This record gives sequence, C-alpha cells and structure tokens, in this order.
Amino acid sequence: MLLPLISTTTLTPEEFKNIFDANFDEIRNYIFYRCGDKELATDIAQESFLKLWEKREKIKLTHIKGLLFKMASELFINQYHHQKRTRKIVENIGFDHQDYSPEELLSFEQLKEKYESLIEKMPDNQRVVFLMSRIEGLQYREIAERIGLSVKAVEKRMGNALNYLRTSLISEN
Amino acid sequence: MEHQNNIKQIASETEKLFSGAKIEWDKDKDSIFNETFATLISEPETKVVGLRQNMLRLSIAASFLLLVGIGTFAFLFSKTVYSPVGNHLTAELPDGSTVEMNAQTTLKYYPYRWYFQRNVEFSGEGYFSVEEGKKFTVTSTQGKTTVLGTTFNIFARDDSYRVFCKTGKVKVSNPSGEFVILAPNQKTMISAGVPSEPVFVSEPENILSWRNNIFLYNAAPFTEVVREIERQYGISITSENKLSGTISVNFQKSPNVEKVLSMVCKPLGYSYVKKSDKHYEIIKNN
Repeated sequence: MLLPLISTTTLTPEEFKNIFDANFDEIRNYIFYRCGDKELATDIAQESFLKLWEKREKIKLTHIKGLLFKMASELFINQYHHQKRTRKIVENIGFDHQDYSPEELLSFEQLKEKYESLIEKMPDNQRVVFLMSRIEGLQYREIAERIGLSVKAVEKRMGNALNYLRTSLISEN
Repeated sequence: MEHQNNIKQIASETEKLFSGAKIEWDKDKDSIFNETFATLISEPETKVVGLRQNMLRLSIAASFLLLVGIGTFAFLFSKTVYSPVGNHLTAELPDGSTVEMNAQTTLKYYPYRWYFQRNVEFSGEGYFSVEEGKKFTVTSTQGKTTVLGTTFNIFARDDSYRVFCKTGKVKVSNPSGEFVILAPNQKTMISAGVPSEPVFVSEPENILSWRNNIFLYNAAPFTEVVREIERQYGISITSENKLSGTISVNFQKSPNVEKVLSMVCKPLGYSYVKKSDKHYEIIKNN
C-alpha cells in the first residue's frame, strides 16, 4: 500500500509572492461575501498571509489554497463573533452602469432594491457560493476548489440560494 | 413548473444585476503587498525565528521570576511600629487586635503572613488586646507569649520579661521552651532564664496604670524607675554613682520632670543636677 508522499517545503520569498498574487483577492472576496465589511475582509486576508509566512517552513504546496481559505475562515469566525457588524454587502459593491440608458438605470435600481436586503439576510454559506458565482463569474468547480467542498455541494447551495430568494420574494408580495 | 420558471427568472435577474459588478476596495492587492509583506519576507529568516523563540523563553523566565519575586516579597514584607521615647501609641494589627505601646517600644509583624500565622516580634512594654482566632504569638529575645484571644500586658526590656494576664489564658515560655500558663489576674516573670510560678495580682490596675500615664512602683529597683522616667520624658539620666536600693513610689506623668525626679531621689538619699535641657545627673548625697 502506498501512501502518497506529500513533501513539505520551505517557502522562498518569491514563492510567497506568487502565492499572494494568486490568492489574495480570492480570500479577501470570500471574507467580504461572508460579512460585507471591506475593512475587516482586508484585515483578515492580510492576517492569513502573515500566518502563512510564519508557517512557511512546513508547507505542502499542493494544499496551499485550502490552507489559506481555512485560516481566513478561522480568523473571521474568531473576530467576527466579537464585533457583530452590520452587513452592507450590496452597498459596498460597485455596479457597472456607466452606459445605461435612463430606463435601464431605473430598472437596475429597482432590481438592486429588490435583492439588496435579501442577499444580506441570506444564510452565510449560500451567500458565499451565490456571490462567487455572480460577482466573480466562477464555475461550480472553481468555487468547490476554493472553499473545499464537492461540486455537488456547491450546486446544492446555489440551488438553495435561488430557492431562498424565490420564497422570500413570494412572501414579500 | 411555475417554480422552475421563478428560479430561472431570479437567476437571470441576479445575473443581470451583478454583471460587471465589482467590490470597490480602498487598496489593491499590490499596494497591500508592498506595505505589509515586501520588507517582511526579505528579512533574513533565522533572525526572525530566533528572536521569537528567545522572546518566548525570556518572557516565561521573566514571569516565573516575577512570581517568585512577588512571593518572596510577600513573605519577607514586614511592618514595624515604633513608639519613641516620651510617647504612647496604639498599633492595630490586620485582624483588629490592638497593642497599646508604652514609650520606646518596638513591634514588628508580617502583614502577608498574618492569615497563616499571627506572630509579632516585640520589645518594650505593651498592653495587648487580641481578637479571638488562631494562635497569637509574641516573640521577644527574653521569652515568648502565646495566646488565643485575650488581653495581657508584656514588659520586655533589657534583662526583664514580665507578663500579666488580664483576661483569658496566656502561655509564657522561655527561649528553650519551659513555660507557665497564666489565668486572669496572674503574672509571671522570666528571672534567671526560667518563667516563675504564676502569682496572683490583687491590684491589677497597678500594672496597667502606665496606659493612663500613672506609674506605680512597689519595692522596685531604683534603676528601673530611673529608666522609665528617661523613656517617658525623652531625657537621659546619668550618674557617676551606682544607683542602688528599691523604691515604692507612684507618680503621674506631669509636665514637670524635675518634680518627679526629686520625688524619687529624696527618699533614697540622692539628688539631681540639671546638666542641659535633656540631660540630668543623679548624685549620691554625702
């Protein structure tokens, strides 16, 4: 029986820089989807990479993305629960409506209003998947890889998110 | 069927809403990297790790030392109360017990050990009112007095050690452990190193009268009375003669020391000369 031997290495500054470039935005977005707080998301992403640098001597390169998401998630849970902040997710998103016609702008504003509070009240795990798909345009496979779930589970969460929106919209009417 | 349509409509609506949407960060990835990480990762690594481990070890050692230090301090920390010549004062101990201290009397105790051990070191004369509780020990070079909760008077000066028990029970022992137990209104003294058999005192007020600035002596050695006058008035009394004889006298501490001096000198055939403000000499009359 052969266990896969995963060798650990010590990160060089260059490797660290590459990992930072490849993952920082993803991590920061992920925390933002969870709390809607840009400052907190930036802090936690930064802290995750500081931790990675501290741990650089025993790093499994194949597991790095999962490790970063896990560290960020733990940091977030530890800090967020101390400082219940209000979520302002949609408010903090910049929408691209430069070349909208007045009518388009109107319908956009209506859409935004319609979904704003619903997305903020959406359960955390659904919102993360939903926003990763909608804002970053990620495939389910990519989302699954980031947050360490199976593709099936991501599909299910996305379905739940849409279902949640549907039932909430119905009950509002 | 309608459910499916709703879902589809929501999916396309939200897709439309978020198309081209972006989170507007105050700082982008690159500036964060340059501010926080660029210098960090270019530092020589062994130095960083070594420092951290050293700091940890140092702080563990430091906190340990601090604890030992606080413990030692609490153990060794003592309070000394001194009642100077010409003075009386009352010292209060942590449990509310009090000691009325006659002139030139010293009392030392350990506040942080008090809960475990009620122990005072004592020299001079004092009247103790001890609150009920654990064993209470008064240690002097001449002897040791142990009580539980009573009132008693100790006179521990030079070669003399006298204890009078006013209430409760008092155990008086010499440094080698021989002891007597006093009942109320009994007194003992350590003479020739051994505590004497308890003696009943018919007029206990005489022993405690110093508390009211009244001094009563019944066949007391002349030198002892002279020493007491020195302490009460904060003066020094010298003599070229050997002061001998015993005296029965009582006096109240009055502003006039010379009145007192003549009262004690005359009957024994002595007189006094004022040498300076705080110095008297006693001369044997021929």
